[in-house]
Amino acid sequence: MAEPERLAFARWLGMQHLKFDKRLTNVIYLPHGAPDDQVRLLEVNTGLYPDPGTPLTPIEATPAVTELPFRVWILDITPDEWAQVQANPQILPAGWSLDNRVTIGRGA
Amino acid sequence: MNARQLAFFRQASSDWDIFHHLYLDLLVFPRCHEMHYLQMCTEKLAKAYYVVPPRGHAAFRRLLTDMPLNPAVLAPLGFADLASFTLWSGSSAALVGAIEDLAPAIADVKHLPNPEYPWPRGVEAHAPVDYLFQVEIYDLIDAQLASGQPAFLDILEQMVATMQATPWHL
Repeated sequence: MAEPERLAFARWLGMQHLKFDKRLTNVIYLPHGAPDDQVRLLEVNTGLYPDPGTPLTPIEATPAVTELPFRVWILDITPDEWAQVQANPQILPAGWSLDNRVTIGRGA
Repeated sequence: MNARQLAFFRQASSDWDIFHHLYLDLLVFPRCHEMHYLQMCTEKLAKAYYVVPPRGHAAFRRLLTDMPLNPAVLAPLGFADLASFTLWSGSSAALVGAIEDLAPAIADVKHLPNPEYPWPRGVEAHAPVDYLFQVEIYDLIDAQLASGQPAFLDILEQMVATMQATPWHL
């Protein structure tokens, strides 16, 4: 699947999430290093409250059998964790990168 | 379901049974107990849906956010199409957030009452058994009912009944 289609899907999905969950302050599309059929979204969530030390682990949000052309993976993080990730992207899950990121809605 | 998902699902199902029992006997036990089981049911049900669990206690909103990507959820829950589900989830958004806020780890941070432990932490002066949760939860249940959408608690009951049986979990 070409990147324009993947980006368009990521934008659409990110906007759906922002509309539904008012706790989200940023949705960021992270294409760098992702398989062609994978959409990675990093979602900054003011309502997350993870227990201290909880690792940054993404979840897959798509069923195993789906008509969607993309697999969707989402990493929920707090605003503090987002600041840490921006200062040190190495703490992202293995294979995830901030390179070529695209912010979807609600500012930078 | 993997073993972790099944364990969370079985506990969520039991939490729902206890909640439902207490909810029907509203005048017998303090409301905090049914609120406790309602919060636990929703959190564990959300953690049962995913192969890897969402981070933190606020998992149920994550589930409702992601459910539209899974068309297998619609029929078991009685929705004819995605638009119907979206209208229902929109009508339930405030209530879902309020239920998540019942988790003590979240309630403490947001200076809200919780159904498990006396509050505020460190200078406890209020017991959950003495608190009605009227504004926090019951008014929102009534408001969601008044929206004309399917009742939140009816859909939650269907989620518990069908997530494994149909199945529609990931």
